Formats: sequence, C-alpha cells, structure tokens
Amino acid sequence: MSIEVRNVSKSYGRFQVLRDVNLDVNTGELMALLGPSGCGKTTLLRVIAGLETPDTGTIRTHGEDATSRPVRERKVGFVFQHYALFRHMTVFENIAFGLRVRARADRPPETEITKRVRALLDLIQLDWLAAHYPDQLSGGQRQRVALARALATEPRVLLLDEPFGALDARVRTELRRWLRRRHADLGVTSLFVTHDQEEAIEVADRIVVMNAGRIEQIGSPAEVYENPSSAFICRFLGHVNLWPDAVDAPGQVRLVRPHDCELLRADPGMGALAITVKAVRPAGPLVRIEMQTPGQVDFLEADLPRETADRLNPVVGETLYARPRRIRVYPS
Amino acid sequence: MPIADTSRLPSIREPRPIRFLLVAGTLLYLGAFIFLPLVQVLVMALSKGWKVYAAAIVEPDALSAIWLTLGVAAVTVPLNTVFGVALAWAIAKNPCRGRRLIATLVDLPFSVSPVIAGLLFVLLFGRQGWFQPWLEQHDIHVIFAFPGLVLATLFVTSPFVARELIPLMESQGHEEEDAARLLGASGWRTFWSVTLPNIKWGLIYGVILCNARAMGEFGAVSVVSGHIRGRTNTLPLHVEALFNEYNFAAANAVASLLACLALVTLVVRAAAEWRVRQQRAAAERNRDEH
Repeated sequence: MSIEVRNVSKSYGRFQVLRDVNLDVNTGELMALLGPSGCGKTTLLRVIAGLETPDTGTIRTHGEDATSRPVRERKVGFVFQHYALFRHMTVFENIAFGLRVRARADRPPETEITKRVRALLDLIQLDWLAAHYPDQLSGGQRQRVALARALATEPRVLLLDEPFGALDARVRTELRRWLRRRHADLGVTSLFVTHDQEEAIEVADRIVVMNAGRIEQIGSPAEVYENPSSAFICRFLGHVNLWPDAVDAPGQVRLVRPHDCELLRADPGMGALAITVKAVRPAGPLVRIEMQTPGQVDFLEADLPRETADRLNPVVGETLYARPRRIRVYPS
Repeated sequence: MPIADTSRLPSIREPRPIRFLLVAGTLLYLGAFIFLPLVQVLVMALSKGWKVYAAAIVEPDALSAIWLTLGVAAVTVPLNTVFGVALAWAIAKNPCRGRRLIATLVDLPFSVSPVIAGLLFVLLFGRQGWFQPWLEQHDIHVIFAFPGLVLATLFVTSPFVARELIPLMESQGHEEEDAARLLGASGWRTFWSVTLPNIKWGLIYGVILCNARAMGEFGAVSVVSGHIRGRTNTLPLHVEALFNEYNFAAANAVASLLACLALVTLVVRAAAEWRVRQQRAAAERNRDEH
C-alpha cells in the first residue's frame, strides 16, 4: 500500500472540510479524487502532502507514519493547479531545483543532474525550451514542466491538484492522454484531484468520489459509472434525468441516463411516458433530444445513436413515447 | 497577445481643450512645487560663485555632517531592510492571527509626528528617562549622541521596506514557497532561492526610499541631536544651522547635496524600472519567436 489515510478529519473554524476520511491508494495506481468544488478533495490532497495538518487521524506513506513529518522530508511530488513554477528560474533550473537543494552528501554530481534534467525534458518533449523562463511558455507547456520538476527527485508518490484545470479543452485532453500513457513507465503512485468526471473516467484506474467532506464511493470508472452508490454520485457522474413517476412511490428518486432512454412512435404501454419533442441536437455520434412531459417544467433528455434517430426522425413539437431501459432508484 | 492601445482611438479621447487643460495644469503644478524649489536651491548655492560653494562643503563642520549622515544611514538602512523583509514575510506568507493588526502597526511611524517620535526617545533615554540609571552606570550616551540619532532614524524609516514588500508578497502568494519545500528545500534555502529573487526589485525600491528618508530626516533627529556642531549635526540640521545664521549661500550649497541625493534616488529608481521592462520585453520577444 502506497498511501494510507486513516480517520482523517479537519475543520476550518466551524466548517468541517474532512469528516473521518479513510483511503488506501495501491502502489503504482493512478487514482482520481473526484467531487464538486468545496467537497474537501484538495484539502485531503494537501493533508497527504503535509501542506495542511489534520485535526485527527494519520497519514502513512509506504508503511511509515508521515503525519508529523515535515513537508520537505515526505518525498512526495506535488503538481499545483497553477503550476507554481519558480518564475525567475529557467525551465532547466526549475526541474533541477529538487536535486540541487539536497544535502551535499545526497546531491548527485553536476553531470548527473544535467543528464537527469535532459531525460525529463525529453520525456515531456520540451527539450528545446530548457533555457526559457516560465512566463514565456504556454499553459500546457508550464504544466508539463511542473510535472517534470515534481518527477526529478524520483518520488514514489505523486499528488496532482486539478492538474489540467487551468488549460483549454484541447490541450487538456492531449495532456491527460499523455499522462495516461506515460504513467505505467513512471512507476509512481499517483493521486489527482479533479472536478471533471469525464477526466476521472478517462484517466484513472480507480475513482474516489467525495461529497461534503466524506468519501461516498471508491471503485473503477466502470463500477462508479454503472453502479453509483447514491443519487448524488449518479447525478455527478454524467447526465441524468429525474424521471417522473406515474405510480406513487414516496421517498424515492428515480434516475434515468439519457442513453438509457428509448423513444417510440406508438405507445408501448407499461412504464412509457408521453412526451413532446422540444429540440433535436445532433452532437457527434449521438443525437440529443430535449423533451417535456405534460405538467413538468424541467426538460428530459434522451441520447439516441445517429442511426436510430435517423430512422425515428423526431420533429419538434410532435408527441412521442419515452421508455427507460434502466431506472436507478435511490432513497431521496 | 498584447491589448491594443485604446487611448489612441478618437472615440475614447477627451476633447482637445480638456486634454490641454489637464496636461498644462499638471505641468504647472510640478513646475511650481518641485522644479522651481530645486532650481532655487542651486541658484542660491552658486550665487556667490563656485569657490564659496566648494568652501561651504569642505568646511570641517559640513564634512562632519556628511560623515555623520552617511554613518546613520549605514546603520539604519541595513537594519530596517532586514526588519522590513522579515516583517513583510511574516505578514504576507503566514496566515496567522493578528496579521492585520501588525500590518496597521507597521504604519505607525508614518502617522506619528517625527518630533513626537524624537521626544519619545528623549523620554526613554534622556536625563529623566526610564533607562537613565542603567545607562549612567555603564557610561553609555544615547541622547545628544550617535545612538540617539540612529534610534530616531530607525523609528521614522522603519515602514518603507515593509510597506513596499507586503502588497508585492501578498500578490505573489506562497505557492512557489510550498513547491520549494515539497521539493526538499529548507526554509532558509527557500527564502534565498525563491522568495528573495521574486521580491528583488521591490526590495531595491524600498531600500532606496528608506535611504532617502534616513539621510533627509529632520524632525525626530532634531529633537535627539542636541545640535552640537561638528559632532551631532546631520546634513539637514547643518542646513538649518547655516540658514539661521543668514548664511544662505552655504545653507543652499549643503542643501544641494541633499537635492543631489534625491536626483540619484530618482535615477536608480528609473534604472530599476527600466531593467524590469527590459526583462519583460526580452521574455515577450522569446515567446514570439516560437
């Protein structure tokens, strides 16, 4: 086990940020800490790094208690959302910093430092920027330099705080695929914070979903997406329709994912809902139908594969029947 | 991408008469209150020729005043630099309780009249002062001596460096310091390699202001000095003494030295700002190449 978080609680004044959090991160895995803003995910990451002290509980990294160990001795790599590169140092010096500040006895010789920094610059494919300063780089380049800087000291644990959060959509996708591909070669255990469910599903081996200072579910992306343990997670991971119910079922929420929704011209009876088509929006391989049931204000959504949509050919204003293939029921 | 200079667009510019009025008003104000007195000092200083000017400056009392002023600045400026950096660091980089209160206290020497500040030290270290018995026992002279001048100047000039650095450090945040510590740097190393280079130009500017005030301070120093010619008269006090003797040429000659100091301060400041702009421009050029 690489990181073990045991019974960690923390509050700022009267606001409790972390409530009795327990978490194990396996060696070599890439884990996502997912949750809405203010759920405590960044605080948990900073507690593991030693940048915040927990009120109660312990942090163990590689079997050793790290709770009261100073930040500089924890040997974790940390990547900040806004990079936090040293603005007055070149890219080369930024990456070399972690090696240069070592005590004389542990410090590698200058040739070794140069070799290692060069290797990392190759890894992030930015060797031609070695002599540049951070403010001369684009956001994506800065984030890759920040990653190389964190990896230079060969930490066994890498913590990333919203690493792709400040980047534009295309660069974000590129960079997270790059990280996904490289992660296995790096041989490092990584925990990254994100509020983007798509990012967590695409990159992580396992996902931890947090809400209001608590861990709600831990599992593989498929598990968490297919079998959300609560209505909150179901809503947070992907689009979801709050399904109106014909039968009275008090104390229950019925949720249907747009792609689990079938549209039919003829009323199939049992469980189908009469709806009015409000909009038809083609979006890549899917066509999104926005629709409304009589007596409901909120729109419902159905995602149909393009072929199915073409065959059905829904027209705005017409009445169709919506039948869920799968309904998830949670206590409300 | 640089933002286009919108001030050149006719739709945004003020009408011609208003622009003329504003510019003329500013120039007139600057001329009347800054340029004219400066010219007046130089004209008066040279009114009896170069020889009188030179004699007024190399005269023993004047030389002693110059050395004393340099000595006071040499002690107070480094002390207040260290104090200012430490204070700004404590306030800006540590979210501790009471930091707002401390930040307000930093400004205290600015809100207290310098004469009161001088009086404060006389009350503490003077004849009837709190520390007098102990000082007498050890034969230490504070008031009407060099230590008193240093104490008064220290008090008056203490806010300059801290005030310059606090907003700068607060705007920079502490993420770079966190990053350095996570990479294994000690607190000391973090300060020298990360914090200090980031505040370099702000610090230089603060030190320049602090030095200008240390050399030009009159009120507080006047109270604790005792005005002993050739011994405890700093440059501003020497100017006053000459002025009171109706020796206007000599007074203005010595005053011109202080005016020169102000000009040097301006030049160093302009150089510092020019240097920062150069670095920025170099960075932009490099970026454009790629």
